[in-house]
Amino acid sequence: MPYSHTLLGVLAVAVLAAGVPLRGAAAQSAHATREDKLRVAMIYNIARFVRWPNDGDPSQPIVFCVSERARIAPAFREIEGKNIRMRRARVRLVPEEDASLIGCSAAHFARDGHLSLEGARLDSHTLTMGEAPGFARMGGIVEFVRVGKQQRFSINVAAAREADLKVSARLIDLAIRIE
Amino acid sequence: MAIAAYALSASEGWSEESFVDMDLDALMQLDITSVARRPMSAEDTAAASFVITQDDIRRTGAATVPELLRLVPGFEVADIDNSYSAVAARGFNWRSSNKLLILIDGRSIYRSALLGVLWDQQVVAVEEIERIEVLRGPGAALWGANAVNGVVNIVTKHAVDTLGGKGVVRYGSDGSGRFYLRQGLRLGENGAMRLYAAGLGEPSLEGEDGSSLTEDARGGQIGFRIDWEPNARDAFTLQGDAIDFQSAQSLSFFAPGGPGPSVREESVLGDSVNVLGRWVRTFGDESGLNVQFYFDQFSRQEVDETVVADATTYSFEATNYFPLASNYRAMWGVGVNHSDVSATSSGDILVTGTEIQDTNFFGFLHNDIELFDRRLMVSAGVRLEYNERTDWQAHPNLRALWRAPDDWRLWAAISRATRTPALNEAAGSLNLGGFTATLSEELDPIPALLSLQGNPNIRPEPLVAFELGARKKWPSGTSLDIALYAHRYTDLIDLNLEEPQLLIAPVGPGGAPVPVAIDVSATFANRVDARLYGIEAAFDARLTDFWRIRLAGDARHFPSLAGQVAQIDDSPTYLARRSPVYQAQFQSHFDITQDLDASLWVRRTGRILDTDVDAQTVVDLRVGWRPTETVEVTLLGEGLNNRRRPVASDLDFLPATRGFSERRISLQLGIRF
Repeated sequence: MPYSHTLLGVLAVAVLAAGVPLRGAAAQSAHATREDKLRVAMIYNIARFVRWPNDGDPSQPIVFCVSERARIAPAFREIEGKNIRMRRARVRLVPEEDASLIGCSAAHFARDGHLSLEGARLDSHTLTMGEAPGFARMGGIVEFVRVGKQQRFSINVAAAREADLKVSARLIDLAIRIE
Repeated sequence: MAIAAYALSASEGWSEESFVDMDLDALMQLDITSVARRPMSAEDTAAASFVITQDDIRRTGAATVPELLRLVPGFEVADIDNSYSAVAARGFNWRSSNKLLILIDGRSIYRSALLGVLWDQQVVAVEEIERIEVLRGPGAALWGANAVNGVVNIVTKHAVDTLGGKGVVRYGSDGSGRFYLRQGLRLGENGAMRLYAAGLGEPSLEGEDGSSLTEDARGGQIGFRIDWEPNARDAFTLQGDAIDFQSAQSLSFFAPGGPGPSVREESVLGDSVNVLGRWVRTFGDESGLNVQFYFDQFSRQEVDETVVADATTYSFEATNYFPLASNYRAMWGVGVNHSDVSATSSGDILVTGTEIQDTNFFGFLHNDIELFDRRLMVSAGVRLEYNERTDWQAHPNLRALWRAPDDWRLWAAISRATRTPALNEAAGSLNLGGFTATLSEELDPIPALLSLQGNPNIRPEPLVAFELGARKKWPSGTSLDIALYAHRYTDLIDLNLEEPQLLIAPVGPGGAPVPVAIDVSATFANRVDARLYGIEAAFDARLTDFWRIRLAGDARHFPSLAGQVAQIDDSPTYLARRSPVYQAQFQSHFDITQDLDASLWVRRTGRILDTDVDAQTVVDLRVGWRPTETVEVTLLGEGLNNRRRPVASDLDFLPATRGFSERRISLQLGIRF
């Protein structure tokens, strides 16, 4: 066979060496599930494609609110302190006795949380995101949709306009449905 | 199998990388249970990798895959007629470039027995593409033979990403046009499907005098894709498409025994159909099984239907990946490809005795290990292949990536790859007119009648490549990527020329005997070695939220072709030199408002060695406007800096008439419904 024996020799040693595990397999313990982490990453990334009326003021944080009771809540720790267009991301876990979302730039309505779109008190410029089927049709801005193992979202552009939020064309491109 | 295989270390849990730092479109490619289909993290790849994203596709306004591949540093894309582009990585570019493996969702469209990828017949609608993963340099350790100078995997969209309807129509000032129409729907809670149709038309190139060279080229495609994920462990995909294509070539012929050179327009017809099925089962967080099969039937008729090539391919492959330790992952796979290929002819180009049944068995093993607190990642792997024509071939590689301070990534690789000889190199004979020979300055050029003989003892062409690279990504998203390579080719296939026979006739002044033709016979043989050195670089700067620029370029030095090189125009290795010495490009993407954006793309290509193709600059400008959320209007200007520019006809197989491409202004309307 017309190949370099030296090269193959090096590779054979490397393959064998690589076949010896250096440490035992260590299971990663995580508080949040992969699905939750993915959804929070999507929530954060979706927010990067949205402009709020007060975006020009870097001293104003972008506050993400989620029900403290929701299973997804611990995964929100990942985005605390991150930057979106010079504005700091903050996370507010809303206690069960509270239904006020005043001061929230973005609010996530988890299915197992205590907050609901109808019952919550919202600012006029809140980016509302939810998991319930029909959330966008009922006036929410972003609705997460699961098809098989895939996680996607649909978007209600009229609701976004009503909240005076500017949604990037790129985000609309990625939405699987536009209400 | 994604190019991600070189970047398994970037997977969640193993590398502890956060999803939060990924782009949204990359996030959407992750399923909620498995890391198996994670797209490549170019940053952590110990290879010269590049990803063309949907954003790139939109902002370039490209209508075809070759146009998109111009984005990749180190890739050469040269139009040679109105529908065909010669595409290669790191040199060796001509109509039948044969050192670049192209896959669509893992299905090879490189036709090993038929001289590479027939680009004009690949009518892939860009709206179907999720991303294009590119690896420059050898990728044979995972993808097998013919992934010599690079691998391109075109990944189409998951059916869930194409729900609803979409229609696109484009019309250009030169009469070009394209359309795309799709309808996607959900199949219950766990599935989705789409049906689509696409078509494009390209007008003839202009000749020197401004007249049309040929008929227009037209192609159409219909297809479907179904994705079904009934539970957390399983994902099934079934997809297929059918393509019909027709064009014409303008060829300059000396027909054997004919009266002299004549330019003829010859039709090209092609059709193909394929079906691919895939099953992915996830066993745990980081282990799984991927089983894939496909059927591909391909037919093409050239030179007014007198040369006919048919190929039918069946392929099956199974891949298993799993972690053996927190810092060690392995992947292995086995498979078989079978192709029935034939080529026949009935005209001036005579093809005889060319029928091949190729069965290719393969198996591969790939290991990734992280050492020294994850600062060093080592990947080692080998793919073994067997087929009757080429015997056993080994494609090993060894790669290492060092995560250096300040977010620098430094990598090195050594790898071996081979190219499988094509059908005409291995069997049968091909008799061609169409070449000219100049015997002396006093005499006019005369026809050279060339007969090419296949060689049953031909062997694959091996390459050993040494690569080094460095890349850095700044928190702002700005990135720098540099790769250096040294390729050592041995046993390149070239032509072994017999003593030419001069045909003399008394047609000179006063009835003097003069040469009127030269008869050349040549046999393919492994007879040339070559060394190639080069550099590729890309700099991507996100200057603000709304302005991004990119600079990219490559240069190469082809210092030596050793051995017995046949110094005739279409000798395979002589063609190796037909590359631009350098290429450079600049892109500027500017979001003027939320609904309006503009992109400028300037490309400079150096002179193509050993041809009459001079250095060229091409300026494209695109403006996109969204009057509503579901409508996009695009204005695209291509080649704005010249009313017309010559195409690289020199890279064609038979000497074609020089064609010119016109400046083009196109308008495109896209609607989601």
